[in-house]
Amino acid sequence: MDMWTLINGLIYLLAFGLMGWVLLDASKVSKRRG
Amino acid sequence: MSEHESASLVKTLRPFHVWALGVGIVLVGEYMGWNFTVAKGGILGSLLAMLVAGTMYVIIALCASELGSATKLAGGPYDWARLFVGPGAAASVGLAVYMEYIALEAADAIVVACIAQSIFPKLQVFPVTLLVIALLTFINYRGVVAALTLNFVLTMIAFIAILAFFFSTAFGLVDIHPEYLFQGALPNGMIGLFAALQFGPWFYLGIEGAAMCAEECKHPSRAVPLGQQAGMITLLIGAAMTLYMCSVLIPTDLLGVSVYPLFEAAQNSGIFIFVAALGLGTFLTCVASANGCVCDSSRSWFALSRDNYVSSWFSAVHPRYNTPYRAVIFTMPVAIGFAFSGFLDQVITFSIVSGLLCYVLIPFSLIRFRNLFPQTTSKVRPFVGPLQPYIAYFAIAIAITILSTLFWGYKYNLIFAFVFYGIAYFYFSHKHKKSNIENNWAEMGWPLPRGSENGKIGKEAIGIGDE
Repeated sequence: MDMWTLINGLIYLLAFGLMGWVLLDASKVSKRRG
Repeated sequence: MSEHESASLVKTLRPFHVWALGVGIVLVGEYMGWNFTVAKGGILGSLLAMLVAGTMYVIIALCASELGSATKLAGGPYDWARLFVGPGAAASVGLAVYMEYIALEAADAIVVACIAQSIFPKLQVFPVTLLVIALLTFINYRGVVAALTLNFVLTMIAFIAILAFFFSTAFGLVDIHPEYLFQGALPNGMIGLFAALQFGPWFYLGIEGAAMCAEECKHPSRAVPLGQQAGMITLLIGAAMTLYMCSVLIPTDLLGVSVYPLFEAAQNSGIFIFVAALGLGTFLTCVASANGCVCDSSRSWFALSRDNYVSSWFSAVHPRYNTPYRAVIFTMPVAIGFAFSGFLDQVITFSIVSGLLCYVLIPFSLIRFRNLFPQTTSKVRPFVGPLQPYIAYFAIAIAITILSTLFWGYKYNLIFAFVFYGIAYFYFSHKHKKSNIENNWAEMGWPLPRGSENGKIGKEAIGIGDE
């Protein structure tokens, strides 16, 4: 695996991580409100 | 108590945030896109397009300042049309604003990824575009102050880069070629002048969105007019400087097809510091523009949802961050869909057509506002624009003229947009005729509109103060 494949993979990971955090927080807030 | 009533948008923004929102969205158009006016009408065509579009936007900004500071609502053009025109027009303009900004966000994210790829060729466009959209959604989710403070910093750096490059050009630090101005002054004759108008909005597209943070301003009566007018002056100065620098540094035939004209002008100057500054400026304006677009499109969707034009599920406000968090999240899948549709030029054209539709309806809302509320008390009208409503008619005429020039090359986009917004108009007019939403003038602290006592105006303009 070359360095750029790793960097592109890390960017994907970061993007999906941010999306996941936002969605997780939103679902927590929605649940708390009932 | 419904979800959106338990928490509300936080009132923390200041005039510089309003400036940052407006100029942040637009400045990218001075770094790229405006130069298509040169391809159509040469340097004179570009100058005419800049002046005609500039006149229209000055009037639109005056209308938006007056309406925004009076209503103090997050929906911007949507809320103005809802209050002063009617439900069909409100839904059309609300959707137009949403489409305008979301399409622009997608285009900006792709350009950021393409710039990153041109620096690091092995970087892929797809993940970087995803990261830009996800990161900006995250920032806007966490709070509007952080998002717009970031926009202020990014926009200021990009504008200072333009100023520095202009003054070094004007004071002779850079070798210029005045002969370029005459060589490509008017390559396609008089028809070129007219055709160039369709790209004129690139210099200022989206400045009306600055008023959409009115509901989140600490003192909206002062912040909205001040931030918006300062933004418009910044853009007029920036547009004139950009046109001059690019015209004397890039031959006209190359300028008309350039992807990054300001960056290319800096490259032609041969001074490394300007190449770096304008390259960085191009990158930062794209990020700032996408960031502002997330903010504005989410507010438009939030306002549509709050009045049940779309599902009221989107109108929830985050209890900790005080942002319309579901509307913010909803920008993400739509922007990703636009970005990877593979029709970037169509997406941008749809954004421009949607914007021009707003530029017809914003002045029209102001004309209606002046008719319904002729009072000039500071409660109803904290900011009074000069020569209104006469210049509003002039702005409508210019917007329709520019829309008509889109028939050169974008006939089908125009027809599609008219069909789309026409269906929205009739559907929502019909839907909200039945639900009979009443405007609550008394809650806004306003008197009854003119003609409401003798039934001259429609049901939609009758408030609870009538009882």
